[in-house]
Amino acid sequence: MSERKLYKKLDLSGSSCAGPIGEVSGVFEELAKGEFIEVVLGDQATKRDIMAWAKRVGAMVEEEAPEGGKPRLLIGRA
Amino acid sequence: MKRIIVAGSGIGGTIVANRLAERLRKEIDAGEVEIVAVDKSDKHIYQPGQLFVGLGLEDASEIVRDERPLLNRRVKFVSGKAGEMTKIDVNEHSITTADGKIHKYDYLVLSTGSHNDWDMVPGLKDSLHTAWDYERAMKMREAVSSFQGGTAVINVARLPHKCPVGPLENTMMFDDLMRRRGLRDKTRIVYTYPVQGVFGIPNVNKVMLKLFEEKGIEVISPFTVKSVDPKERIIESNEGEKIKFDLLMGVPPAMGAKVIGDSGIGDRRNWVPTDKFTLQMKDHSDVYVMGDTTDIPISKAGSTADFESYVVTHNIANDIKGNMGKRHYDGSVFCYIATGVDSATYIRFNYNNPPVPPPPSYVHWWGKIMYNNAYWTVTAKAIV
Repeated sequence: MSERKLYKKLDLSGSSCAGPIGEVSGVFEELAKGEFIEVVLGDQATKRDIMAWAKRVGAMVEEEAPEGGKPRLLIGRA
Repeated sequence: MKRIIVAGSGIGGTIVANRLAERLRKEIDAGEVEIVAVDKSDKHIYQPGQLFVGLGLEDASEIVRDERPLLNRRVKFVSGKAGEMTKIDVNEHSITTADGKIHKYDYLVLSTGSHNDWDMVPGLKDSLHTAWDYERAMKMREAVSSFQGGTAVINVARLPHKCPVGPLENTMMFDDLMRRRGLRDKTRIVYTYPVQGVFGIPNVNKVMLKLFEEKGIEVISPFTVKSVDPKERIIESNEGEKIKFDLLMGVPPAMGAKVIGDSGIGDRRNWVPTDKFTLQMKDHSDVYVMGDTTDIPISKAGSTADFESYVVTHNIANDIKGNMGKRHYDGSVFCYIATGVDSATYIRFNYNNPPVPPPPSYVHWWGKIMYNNAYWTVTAKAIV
């Protein structure tokens, strides 16, 4: 996804009421085709949940090198 | 003279203006600092009370007061056209109001809040009874009181939204009211949520799912509302679900204030990019952002703004007076969750420590009521 346009980066490693999937789902709806968001997550379980969610909604996902030991994903709209 | 402008006089703006006025009282009295609170409305609505109004548990008049008496006497307050912001220029360090005046600032606190976006979902505006709007909360009360059974759907349109636990409360309090009115056997209650489950935090989701199951509340999720047919009373999701309803309640999509978008300082939903620890607007260290206005992945709730107000106040005071060190917001949130009309639990958490809600009890219900009642005399006035 390196040639695509980054919309924003989200640090979802902390607790939030909407939860990581809720936060991502809200922003994902705002993405235009070819845009992506970068998300940093708290743990591997959340990463798996996000990847399952992405598969269900048809989002593109790429795993990047962890940031500070935390999983990092790029999520885009195809 | 240093001028601090507090943009928006909702819960967050009022608390932070009062906290700043107390912290900087000597400087204000000496003419070295001025605090100006700006809002087009001269009324203050205690928005968490709107759900009680919508369910017929509180009168609308009880959750509205005049703004001026809530503010510390050292805070200057402008409202009406003089308080209606039309532009925020963070490069020129100024705001413009609808009367054409340009107000320069040394420090700006953005607390312009979140607002309903009725255009995102076709048909929603003509169908939804919601406590997330003062006027509509009064209409919701009529709809709830005249409801005689059928299918009641509680829908959360999009995440994030103001008062994240509110839809859970709406659902469980409505369930309790139907039981008390002898209508529960004739009522199907369906809760729909954009992501799997009923709430985003796993611990809370687990507890709430169990409560919903015990109460016979159906859950359909993920359910991302696509449209509502007001005539046929059908709500439809992107996932392909269709539900026929007799009463539709819930939360419309939310977005930041229009002036944020008009000023080009927000993201596509008009949330302002904010450092999650310092609460400063990204790339603008003289602008602090708090409450619903930020793009921080945290609860859009009054208690969030209250916790943030300590950090914003301290850091502005430090910017002005120096030598006090900077404070960081740790993501603290505290919310009661009504699980009926005489029981509640609560969540208390921060960025690093997820909440573990205690079992629902009468004690926590009274805690919630006391907290609501103490708002006007303690919380809004930043007494503690």
